Formats: sequence, C-alpha cells, structure tokens
Amino acid sequence: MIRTGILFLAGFSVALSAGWWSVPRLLYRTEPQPAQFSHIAHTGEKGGMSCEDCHSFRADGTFAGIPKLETCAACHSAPMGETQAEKDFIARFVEPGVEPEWKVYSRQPDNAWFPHSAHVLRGKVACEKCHGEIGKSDRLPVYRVHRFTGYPEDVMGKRAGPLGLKRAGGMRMDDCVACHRQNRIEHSCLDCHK
Amino acid sequence: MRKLGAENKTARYAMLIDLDRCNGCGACMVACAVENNVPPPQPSATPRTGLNWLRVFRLNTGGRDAFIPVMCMQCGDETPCQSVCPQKAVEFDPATGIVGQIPERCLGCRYCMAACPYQARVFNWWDPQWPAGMEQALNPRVSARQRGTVEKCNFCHGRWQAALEKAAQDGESGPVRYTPACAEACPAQAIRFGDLNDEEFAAECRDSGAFRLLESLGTGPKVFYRTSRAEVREATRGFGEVKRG
Amino acid sequence: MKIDRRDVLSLAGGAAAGLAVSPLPWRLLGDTAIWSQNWHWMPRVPRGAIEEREARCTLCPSACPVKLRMTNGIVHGVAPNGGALCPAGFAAHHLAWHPLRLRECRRKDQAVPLEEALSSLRAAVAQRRGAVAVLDLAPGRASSLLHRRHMAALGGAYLMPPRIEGGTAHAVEALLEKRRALAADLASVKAVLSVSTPLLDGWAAPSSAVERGFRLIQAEPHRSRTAGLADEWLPVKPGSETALLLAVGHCWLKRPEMAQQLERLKGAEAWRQAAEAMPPQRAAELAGIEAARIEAAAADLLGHRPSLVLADGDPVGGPLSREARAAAAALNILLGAEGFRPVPPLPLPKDWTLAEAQSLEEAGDGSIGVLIIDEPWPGVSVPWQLVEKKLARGAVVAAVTWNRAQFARHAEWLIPAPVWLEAPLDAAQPHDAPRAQIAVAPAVMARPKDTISAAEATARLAGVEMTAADEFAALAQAAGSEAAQIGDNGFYWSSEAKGAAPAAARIAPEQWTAETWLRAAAPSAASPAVVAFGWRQAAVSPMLGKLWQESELREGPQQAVLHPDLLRRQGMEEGVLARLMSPRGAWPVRVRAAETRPDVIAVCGGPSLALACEVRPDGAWTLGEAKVVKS
Repeated sequence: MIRTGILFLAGFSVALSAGWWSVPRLLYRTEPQPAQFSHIAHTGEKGGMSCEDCHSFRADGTFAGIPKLETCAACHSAPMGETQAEKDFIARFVEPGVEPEWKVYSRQPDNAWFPHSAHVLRGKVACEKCHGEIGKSDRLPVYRVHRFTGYPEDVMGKRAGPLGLKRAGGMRMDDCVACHRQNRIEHSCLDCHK
Repeated sequence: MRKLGAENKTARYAMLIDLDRCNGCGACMVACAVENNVPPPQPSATPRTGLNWLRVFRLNTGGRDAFIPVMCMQCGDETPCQSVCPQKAVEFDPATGIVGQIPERCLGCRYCMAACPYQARVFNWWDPQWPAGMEQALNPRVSARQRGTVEKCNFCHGRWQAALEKAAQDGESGPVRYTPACAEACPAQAIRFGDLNDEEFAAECRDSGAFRLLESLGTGPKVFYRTSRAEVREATRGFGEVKRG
Repeated sequence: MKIDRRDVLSLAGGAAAGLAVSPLPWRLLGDTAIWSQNWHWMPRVPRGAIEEREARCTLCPSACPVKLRMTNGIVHGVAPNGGALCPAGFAAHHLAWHPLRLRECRRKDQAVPLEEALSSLRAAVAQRRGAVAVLDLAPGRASSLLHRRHMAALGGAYLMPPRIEGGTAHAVEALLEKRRALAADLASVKAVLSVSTPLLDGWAAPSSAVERGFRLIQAEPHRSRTAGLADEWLPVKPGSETALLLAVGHCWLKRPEMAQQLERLKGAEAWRQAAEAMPPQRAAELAGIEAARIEAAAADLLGHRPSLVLADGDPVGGPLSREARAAAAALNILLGAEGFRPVPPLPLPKDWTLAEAQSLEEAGDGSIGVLIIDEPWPGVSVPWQLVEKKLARGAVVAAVTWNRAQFARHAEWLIPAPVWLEAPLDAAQPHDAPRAQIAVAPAVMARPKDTISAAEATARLAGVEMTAADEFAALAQAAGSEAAQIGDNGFYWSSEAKGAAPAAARIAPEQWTAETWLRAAAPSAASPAVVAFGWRQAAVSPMLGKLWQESELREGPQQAVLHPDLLRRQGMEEGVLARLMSPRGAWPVRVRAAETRPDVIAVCGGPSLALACEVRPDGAWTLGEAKVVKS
C-alpha cells in the first residue's frame, strides 16, 4: 500500500513538474528581433524623448505603433553614439533602406480592436498601464510566440488553466475586461471585437 | 453606465429606407460584402446557403418592380435572437442599439436563425476562400469571417469603431456619426442612416408614411421603410411568408 | 525488486493526476480553441495606415469619381466620391485578382516571355506590312487614339466591333446629311421608347438611371431589369421590333406637324410607304401585344417632348437588326433628332496623324495578316465569326487581354494586360451624354510583371518612343488642361456640348424600298424563341455573384429565364440545371421562372456567349436555332 502511494506520488510529481516545465517551452517558441534596441537610451537623460515622439497617432485617430524606418533614420542616418548595436542597425537597415521586421509584443489578434486614442488621449491611461515599464528597459525582452496560434505571449497570456498566474501589466483580453469592469465602462463584446 | 467615447449619452442607430427610390441595383449588397470581408460565393452556394448580411428582395407587386433591402433589424425589444442564444453570442448593446453577433462565441447551433422573424441571419457554411491574392484586399477594420458560425449585419460596426477612434483623437464627445457601407453605396440615397435620439431623424421615422416589417410582433426593429405606393406597402406585409432562398 | 501490474497502474495513475493539475492539458484545450480562429488557411486582414485617394472608375464610359481606401499599396475599398456607383464599382478593385486573370504571356498553351512575344509579333508585322490591324473592343478611349496613331505609323488599320451602346446615335448620324458624332442626351429628354436597350441596367451612368427625369417605355421580349422598372413594358415578340417602330411612325403620320416634318425629309418615301402599310393593328399582331399600347406609346413620345427612341440592343445579345436601328433613327429624325446632341471632338496634339477608324464589318474579308485584339476590361466581346472571315490565311492573332478565358481558343498569343489601378487606363466616351472626356485612372497598385497594355504594345510594334502615360499627357495638354500630368489621382477632362440638337435632314438609305422595311418587320418564327442578354459589368468580380448566385436579385451568367407555364411545358422545374443547345455550342444554364413572355426563353450570358453568336445578314446577333433542354 505504501509502495503504491509512493509510486503514485512519484508519478504525480514527475508529471506535474513535467507539465509545468513543458508548458512554456512546448507552447511558445522564441523568435529573435531583427535588431537590438534600448528604450532607456532614447527615453533616459541622454535621449530625453517621450513615448509619443516615436509611437505616434495618425490623422485618422489610429495608432501607428512601432515607428517605420524613416522615423529612426531621421536621427540615425549616421551613428550618434558609440554602440555596436546602433552601427549594426545603420549598416543593416538604414543604409540599404530595408524596413526592419520588428516582432510586436502587443500585436492583438485580427478580431480585436484597441483604440489607443480612446484610451490614451481621452481616457488618459498611461502607456505603462498595459505595456509595463518597457520604456525604461535597456534591452528588448525575449519575444515568444505561441506555436499554434502565432499570437505573442503577452497577448495570448500566461494564465494556465485552473492554476492561472496573472502577469503584471497585461494586454490579454482578461486584463482589458478587468480594467473595464473596474471602471464600469463595459457594454458589449463589439466594444473591442471586430 | 458610461460608454466609451459617448459620455453619459447613448445612440440608437437606425435606418430609414425609401422603397420608392430603391431600384434594386444591388450596390448595397456588394458594398456590404466588400466592407465586411464576406467572401465571394462558393461554387455550390445557393440563395439558401449564401452569405449575405444584406439582401435585396424583389417584391411581388403585380406591376412595376419594387425591391426591399432587408438586413438585421437590430430589434430593441426582447430581441428574439438574443433570448434564444445558448452561448450568449448575441448581445444587445444599449449604448448603440446595435445587436452584436460574436463569432468567437457562436457554436453554430442556428437557433437564432430560426428565431429571427426577418430571416436576416445567415450561417457561414464554408471557410472563407478568396481567389488567390484577393485576400490582400480585405478590410483591415473588420476581421475575416469564419466557418461554422451565424453572421448578420451589425450596422458596419467597423465604421463605428473608426468613427470613435477619430472622435477620441479630436476630443469630441457624444455619440459618433458614421455611415454604414450600404447607405454610402446606395446610388439613389434610398438608405438613410441616423440616430433615433436625433429628433429630426426620429420624427421622419415616426412619420405616418414610415413603417417597419412585422411591427405587430413587438420586437422593436430599428429599420424603417417608407413608400408612397400602396401595392408596395401591401407586398411588404407578406414579408414573413417570403422564404429565404 | 519485481515490478508488477499494480505498480505500473499506480505510477500511471499518479502521472495522470499530476498532469491533470498541471496546466498542460488545459492549455492545450484552450489554445486549440483559439487556434481555430486562426487556422493558417484563414486569410489575415492587412495592418497599417488606411489611406484615402481619389480616382475615377474607368471600367465603363460613365467614369464615375471614386474614393479608394488602401493600405500598404493595396486597394481594399471603393466608394462613390459624390454621385453614384453601380454594384460592380464597389468590387472593381477585385479585378486585379480575378480568378480568370491572365498572369503570363502565352503562345497557345505555352508560357513565353513577353519580350519574345513582342519580337515575334514585330517580325510578323514586318513581314506583312500593311496587313496589320488593331481590333479595339472598347473604342472611344484616349487609348483608341493612341492605337490609331500607332497604326498610322505602321500603315495598319484600326477596327471597331459593331457598336451596341450608341448604335442608335450612329444610325441617326448616318441618316443625317452632315455626319457628326452624336450622343443621346438622357439628362434633358422627357420620354424614351427603348427597344431591348438596358437603359437602366448598365447602359447609362448609374446616376442618370437613378434620377431619371423621363417616362420610359421599354419594348423587349423578356422582362429585363429595365423592363421591370420602366413605366410601361411592351412584351414584343423577338424580331418584331421593326414592325413596332414602323407602327409608331404610322401613328405619327396622321398628325399635321409630322406631315410637315416629313415633307422636309428627302428620300423618306420608302419609309413612309412602309409606315403606312404598318398600322398599329398589324404591328400588334406581329408583336403579340395590344394595338392600343402601341398607339399610347406613340402618343407618349409626342406628349413628352423632347423625346428619344433608342434601339441599341443588348451588350451580350448584340445589336438589333440594321432595319430596326434605321427605323428607330427614322423616328428620331421625325422628332427632329431632339434627343441627341453633337459630341465635341477630342482635341488632338497638332503633330499626330491617325489611322482612320473603320468598322470591323467594313474591313475586307481575308485582309488581315496580323491582328492585335485589345480587350482592356471585362464584358466586351465580338462574335468570332465576324473576326474570322477578315483574317488572311495563316494570320497571326494576338489578344492583349486581362483574362485567360475569352480568346484562349482563338488567339495564338495571349498577352497579359494591366487592369484598372495598375496602369494609367482610361474610359471610353459616354454615349448617354453629349460630352467628350478623357478619364485616366491612376496607377496606384503594383503592376504585375510582364504586363503590357494594348496601347503600349502597339506603340512597341510601331516603334513609338513615348510611353502611354506621356501620350495621355500630350492629349491632356492638347485639351488645354492645366492638369496635364497623370498625377496621383489620375486625370479627368471633359467638355460639355453647347450646340443645339441637329436638325433633321435626310432619311432612309436610298436603295431601300418599302418592302425592305416590311420584310424586316416579321418576327422570328421559332417558338419558343431564345434571346440572349447580359450585363457587361457581371465579369468584374466574382463578388457580384452575390446578386444572382446567392440571391435572386437579378439574372446572372448561365441562367435562363422562362415563363412558369413554359417551364412546366418543357418538363423542368425552377432552379434545375439545363443545357442551352445551339449550332455553335452547348452551355449549362440554370433555369429560373419569371413573368416574361411565355414564348421566349431569355438566356443571360457572359461575354463568351456573344463570342459564340452568329451574325445575321441584317447585322443582328443570334444563337441560331437554340434550344434549352433538360440535362
């Protein structure tokens, strides 16, 4: 009986840890960003830029997201600093005029609609509320993407079934819903879905 | 409750369709499909199985042709499709008066299609298939359609969202004004889109000449029609008996 | 230590329980559900800024102003920019990805590089200098002027297919002494008698079909969309159109003002005799309608002046007989041709010489050694029989075309052409308004490689150095416009006619006698008679199938319309697949019941149906003795 119990527990703990260990590895794959980027170098004392300087709104109220190469090239047509990353970036993208294919951590599925203008301009929601302190980071975080769905980890979420873990910040649907509930501004699915 | 972009004010979007002006060209149907990423007909699709959010029917008047565009009526009272949905995939949005259909939740039981007195709902029998390359021309404002769900008109919600996004940028408040694809497309301006909270538009819809289909059911449809031709008015009375397909 | 079955079960049970409380199975379950929204074969919607741009839809002479909605250089929406658009306009950008789009240059069934095709054609032209011709399926464009310029350089001919839209105007031009280009003035007329002309369904600009200020009497064997919307539908027997038009003239003969008008006409005697011999009662018998309705129509035309009589025919079914067109022209002339206005000519750069515009029918039989067919947009066609007899033995035929279907069987070379929004392409002259126009759509989408427009191709053959865009710009400059550049939004120039309606002068071809008219007035003996009709724009996008395949709003290609009684007599049911059998081929058709003449089967076709039509000696197109049989 004891032997059965031990074996059961052994099986249980091995499977449990294997399950926990394998989920992120099995479900997500890591993809490299086309270049290294330091937000703090731009937003810190040296750069002195704000989020809106690069991540801007278009005239029709839509959000342009990650800036295009021309925004980068406006300053970085020649190296401004000493870093190798900058030199590489200029050599690989600015000079040949190749648009870097940045992986977007916050890319929402096709059926979701997130109006930055309604949140940032009207609702005065800080960028950090959802994106975290990315503006102060020195290196780009690891970009992990779900193997089947192709959704980035930050959007697909880390909630793992009944034993969910909640991330800080958050760009998952649950994060949206939680905030909207808290602020009593929820009406219908089509508020955010398209 | 407070609404995104519409502080303390709601809209009740509605349509007023002048049947005397409609010449049945079908521009609204094509514009609707293009706007909402509805794919072209599958080879085996028929009027019964086809995917039309908006359909123009020819009315049997006995004389000069008359046509009636029929889309989701966005019923505001005891919305029949909403009350039967086992999945809560149908929602009435009190802020816009639009009945939303959420394909991600829909399990495709088609109970709502049976419940809809206007037969304004369609089932998507096929994965959307586009001739090679044409999928690049999908509307970015609307998601691609998916198989196995029920679909219907949502008064071009993508355009509402676009208008809201713009209004937020411009710092405007209150319900947004926008034009759905069909109303924009109609060469005869037979389809007019407005807000029933706008007195002028509401007065036109309340006008004695305006009517709604199957009004006696009490579902509070928000698509109004108007005609000066008695035989056309008469022909619309039989709408409930017109079989789709 | 011995491992028994119980141990294995315990371990497995533990593992199962462990797995169940680990996230793995639940995540797999949930993620698979989300995956189903995102199958790899599901199309992805584009991302990026949505731009708007103004342009013109140049797929028909209406040249409607449009707003394009685009992202990343791909147009994903077309909307009217003031004014109206037809249903095809909303899907016009789909043409670039049409399933029938020709994507490679071909010789018979083999793909060949474009340059090889062009040099081969150049060699053929050099060999048969003088016997080269362009058949322009969409005449009246600025591109047509380019063709004529290039043909002048080559010593070749510029040919036009039989005119359908504008055919009545052409007949009126022919009957007036001073030949000037005329166009119907739909905006000012108060009454129109239209004979088998789809006036409200693609013939005229969408806006004028909507806001129509005229009373419309439609004489047509089947209840077409125009017939259904007209104020009056005269369901005449196929072939009885000339009788109807003569009978209308008969009613007018009695009126003193018409007698006066007739006196001023020269050579009208034969027509007068024919009209006198065709009282409404006789025409009514021939046409199978009541005489009173013919009299009423005749009175309507006089009661609502200015009025117009049109007998252009159907774009797929073809023109009406020469006599019917002439009879319609004669009525117009009696009305003082008040429904027509002269069209201002297109301005030309001074140093351009043009080849004469010639109709295909006038070209000598067996005279063409190298034929370039220009098929710039969907819905244009010509019976192959007409082309075939003009070709010399061993003639080289090259079709510069957007699609790989229409001329695949007939042309040795298929050369892919750019479509709307891929290159500066222009619309033809309107036939429903007295206006000259140059409407060039901008090139806003990437042009597929190895495509060449027909005007560019003939320029290459003629060794003209200018690009098509430069040639358009030269035309625009000649028009005296400041916006001579083909800019971001293309280019539009138009000149409205100022002149009055042309005065009536001369009537009827001299060699015709009253018998010529009367012989032509007999209806077709076949019962049920098969008539073909179609909608040019139907081929623009498969999306338009929503209008017939996924609904019953209109008839679509490969559909046949029969009266319910006839349907029953033929032993068919609504919606079944049948076969249209004609001496020139067999096509599957789906039958539909409709309130139409019980002795007529109306077959809706695409352009390929016109390609298969026979041309009767009187110029009308026919499917021959066609039948619709159960398949």
